[in-house]
Amino acid sequence: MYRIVKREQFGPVTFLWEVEAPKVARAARPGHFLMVRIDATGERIPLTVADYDAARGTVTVVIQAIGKTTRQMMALPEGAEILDFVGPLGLPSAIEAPGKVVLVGGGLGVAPVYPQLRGFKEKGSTTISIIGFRSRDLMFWEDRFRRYSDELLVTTDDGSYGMKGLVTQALQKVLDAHADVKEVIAIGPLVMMRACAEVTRPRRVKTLVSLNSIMVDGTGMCGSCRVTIDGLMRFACVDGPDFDGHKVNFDELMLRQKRFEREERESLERYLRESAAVAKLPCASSDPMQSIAVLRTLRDTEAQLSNVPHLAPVPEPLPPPEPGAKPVVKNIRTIAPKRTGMPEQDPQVRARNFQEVNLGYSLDMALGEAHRCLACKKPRCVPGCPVGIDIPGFIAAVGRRDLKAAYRILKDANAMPAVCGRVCPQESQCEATCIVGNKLEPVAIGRLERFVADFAAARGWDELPDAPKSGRKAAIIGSGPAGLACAGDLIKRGVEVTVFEALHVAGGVLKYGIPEFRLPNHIIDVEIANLQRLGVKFELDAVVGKLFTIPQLMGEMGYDAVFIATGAGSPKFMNIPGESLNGVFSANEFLTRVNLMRGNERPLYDTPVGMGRRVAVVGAGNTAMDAARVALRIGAERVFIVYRRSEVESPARIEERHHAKDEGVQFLWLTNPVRIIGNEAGWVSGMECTGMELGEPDASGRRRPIVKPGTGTMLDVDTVISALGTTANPIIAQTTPGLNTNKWGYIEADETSCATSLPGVFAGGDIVTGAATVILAMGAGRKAAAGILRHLKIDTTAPAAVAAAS
Amino acid sequence: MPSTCPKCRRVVAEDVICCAELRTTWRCRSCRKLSSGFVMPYGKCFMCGGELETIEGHEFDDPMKVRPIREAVQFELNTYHFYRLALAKVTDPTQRAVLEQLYQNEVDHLHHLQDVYHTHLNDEVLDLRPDVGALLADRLFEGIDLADPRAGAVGLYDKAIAMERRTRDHFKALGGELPPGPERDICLELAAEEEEHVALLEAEREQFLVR
Ligand SMILES: Cc1cc2nc3c(=O)[nH]c(=O)nc-3n(C[C@H](O)[C@H](O)[C@H](O)COP(=O)(O)OP(=O)(O)OC[C@H]3O[C@@H](n4cnc5c(N)ncnc54)[C@H](O)[C@@H]3O)c2cc1C
Ligand code: SF4
Ligand code: FES
Ligand SMILES: [Zn+2]
Ligand SMILES: [Zn+2]
Repeated sequence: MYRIVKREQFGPVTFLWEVEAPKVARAARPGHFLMVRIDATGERIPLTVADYDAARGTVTVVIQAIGKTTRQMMALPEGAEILDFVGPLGLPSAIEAPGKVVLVGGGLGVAPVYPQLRGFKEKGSTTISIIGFRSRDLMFWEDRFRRYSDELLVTTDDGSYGMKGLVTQALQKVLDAHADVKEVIAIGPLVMMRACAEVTRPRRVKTLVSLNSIMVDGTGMCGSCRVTIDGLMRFACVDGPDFDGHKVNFDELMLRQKRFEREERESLERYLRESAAVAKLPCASSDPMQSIAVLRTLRDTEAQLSNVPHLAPVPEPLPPPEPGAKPVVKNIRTIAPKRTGMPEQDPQVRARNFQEVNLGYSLDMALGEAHRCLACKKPRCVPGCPVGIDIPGFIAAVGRRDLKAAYRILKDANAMPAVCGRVCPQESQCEATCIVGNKLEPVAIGRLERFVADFAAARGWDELPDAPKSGRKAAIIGSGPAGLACAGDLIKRGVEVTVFEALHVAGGVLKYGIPEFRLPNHIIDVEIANLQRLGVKFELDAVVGKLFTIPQLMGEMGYDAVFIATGAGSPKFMNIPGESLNGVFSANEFLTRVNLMRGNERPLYDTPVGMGRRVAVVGAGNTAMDAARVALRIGAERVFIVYRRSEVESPARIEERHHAKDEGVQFLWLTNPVRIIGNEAGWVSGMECTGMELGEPDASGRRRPIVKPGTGTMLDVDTVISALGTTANPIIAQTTPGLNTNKWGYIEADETSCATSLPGVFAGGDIVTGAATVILAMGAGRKAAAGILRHLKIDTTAPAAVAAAS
Repeated sequence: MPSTCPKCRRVVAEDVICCAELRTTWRCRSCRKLSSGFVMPYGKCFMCGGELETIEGHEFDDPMKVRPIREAVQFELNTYHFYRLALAKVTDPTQRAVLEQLYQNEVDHLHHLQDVYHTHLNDEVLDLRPDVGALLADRLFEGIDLADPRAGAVGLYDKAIAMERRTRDHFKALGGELPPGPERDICLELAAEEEEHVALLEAEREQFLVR
């Protein structure tokens, strides 16, 4: 929680907060911004840093109450606490060698210009400031500006103070008077920034503007904030927020700022209605702190009710083993040819809810399936498993009804069997190599894994031992499967572990990407709670590379080793015309708005989703299936999967593809989007596609899709979700000198130890391999743990703290 | 951007399965076990734990002219015929079940040779002269107590395992004699293959005994 230590009102809707956030204050620089969320159901909204004081540990922001969230913020009194205050984010402004600079702030933009003004002055520049307000009563910080400006012009639209007119008129005047202006910095409403850029363009004066576009994470993971700069797509949160004003496509940005206009209006109206009603209640308190506390409790209770975790099943005793079975020959020809089916929710019903689709095996089903395993002496399934689980061993234990032993075997190799049993692409791993699969359906290894793990979870078979402390400290960056697996192995060897996570929840893709109906959150929460009980510390809202860097972790912060497990979270777009239209999302943005921010539960939660009715999802991997199925569940009338190859090349798990089909998702195979069409208001109105066919096999036998002439079609959709994979997020690499990356920006790490080019720094998971799988990320986490233990010279020959009771 | 193809483990620039329905062939660097499938395993050789390498697969003008391949086919054919003829003689259902499985295994092994070395056998080779057949079948049953259904079945397994072992040892020895080169490689591959057959039969025998 972050306390508002000072609050000041500037006019009817503008106010200032000074927030106690010592770490953020230490790292903040002019030009940075923050992502702020006031409570558990709130939106994450970007706010530009208006000032910071490292000594006092405070950060100042100036906010204008326009929508619901900012009005709620305005209602918070001094002393109130807010839930998340993430930052500093974005690239700091480049405040370079002295010269003459003009700083223009319009309205609220006056605040973020201020630290830049101070910065320039401290660097020895000549500073001319122009600050503009609608009228005198809205004015603030004239004194501050005067202190650092060699010349200050104040404008008001109505002439109630200073010069009557707009800041652009003042800028024109200043530029006429000073031929030697080196740079103009303009921050304010989009129209103002555009007008300033137009004033400076003919004079060729460098002009920087700060683009506060619509954001979700603020760390480069969703693409919501994308802007077009000089014809190229850029993410305002990582590539900006400062950009060359002469290169910004302002028209497009203005349309994009209207993405959630309708939702915002609805929320605000509801908020005003409700607060008026609350104020009329006889019990309404005049103390703002108290009424806010009451409202918060109400909201939190409501939110909690809406996410009641699944209750653990009542422990049931294991039935006794059957008396000795009769001798039959068991081999590939005498076992059941088909695997035991997985009970699932009815497709019609589940397509409208977020409950888990697969219901899991019963004990009888598991025993039946376990019987199909041939217990190979030289099992082929084991090398098919990326972490080498003793598969016949655990299946034999299931067959003996010794589920505890089965769980122990799973846990020996796999940190999270309940997760992997649900999301591993078994059909291209263990089940692909299982010998039974040569002739029949392979043994349903994944389903058995899930059965055992679920059986164990409800019964507390995870032992949480006390490992002797080694006195060494490790920092893990990222709380996805790689980070969590590494944390588990390190803490069991007595290493003090802190996991730093950029988002406000731990779990990585498992939480914000994979939806509830495929992997319920409580499964991951159990794992995280276990790690916490073992002593792993989680620091959420901590963007490493921004709040502090890896050199700082290894230096002043005293960590002996760092594991980078930041995933490959940066979304990729198609690079076709029309991608900045409203209604075009990256799958990451869409899934984050729903899975993480619970936008589908508006108005209880504040984050809008902004999906239309007819949705095209481009791509055919797991992410595409997830996006399509989420779209159905939150009310899409029609959902298409558009993929330029054929079904066999779809990298999604087979089960997800089948489930999506059963639920009514329509698949357009061999179809390639070429253009997204929009209406005048900037919204998607269709997507033009062309048919593809698979070309002749090349030398290696691969067949590439080629355009089939004369097959253009127009898909009638109003929403397009791009699920074309992800790339590396640049934040860590940018801020870690000496860390080697490959040409795609992924970190180079040793295959066995996960060591990087920097001593003591390890990396693994998607940030090394590129988008891969949960189990590979977990496997990498465990390898890294072993590498770190070797690096720290911690004995790994002594038996590790055991994972499960014997 | 780039990702690793989940089937063949190649790094590809696009997020797709690059090889879809393409079969991959790989070999263990230590025991030379050759395998092929739609999915390349992540881990080490399932037979010996050695490193795996993908290979292009074998190409021969006439594989049956390569000595170890020809011999391997001959061995598998012989065993195949043993089981076929033996089946005709046995009436006990358990023993028949065992024999049928052994016979089926041999069919699989022949298919494997066909897959990997492109040996294409015609029906002529697959049929055996009746007199030779009778002789072979009798030899198979030597020393097995067929009167006891259970002991008889175990005896069949033991015999089959012994035969696979003999073949394995043959190729191992032959590989040891040959100079380094493709023929020697093939001998080692075949020895590894037989090793797997032994393991398969041992597992089946064990399963049989615990029931
Ligand atoms: C929608 C979707 C569905 C998927 N479905 C499957 C599936 O069914 N099966 C499967 O096996 N795989 C699936 N995957 C892939 C799988 O989720 C990933 O391969 C896996 O999560 C990678 O794990 P990781 O630990 O490397 O990274 P992630 O899970 O991406 O976790 C990285 C974490 O690091 C945090 N982070 C990033 N930068 C910083 C920073 N600078 N400071 C602090 N924290 C930071 C991120 O916020 C994130 O929480 C899916 C992926 C997606 C997106
Ligand atoms: S390969 Fe298949 S049959 Fe053999 S042990 Fe593994 S799961 Fe069982
Ligand atoms: S807010 Fe910039 S990428 Fe998500
Ligand atoms: Zn491939
Ligand atoms: Zn081997």
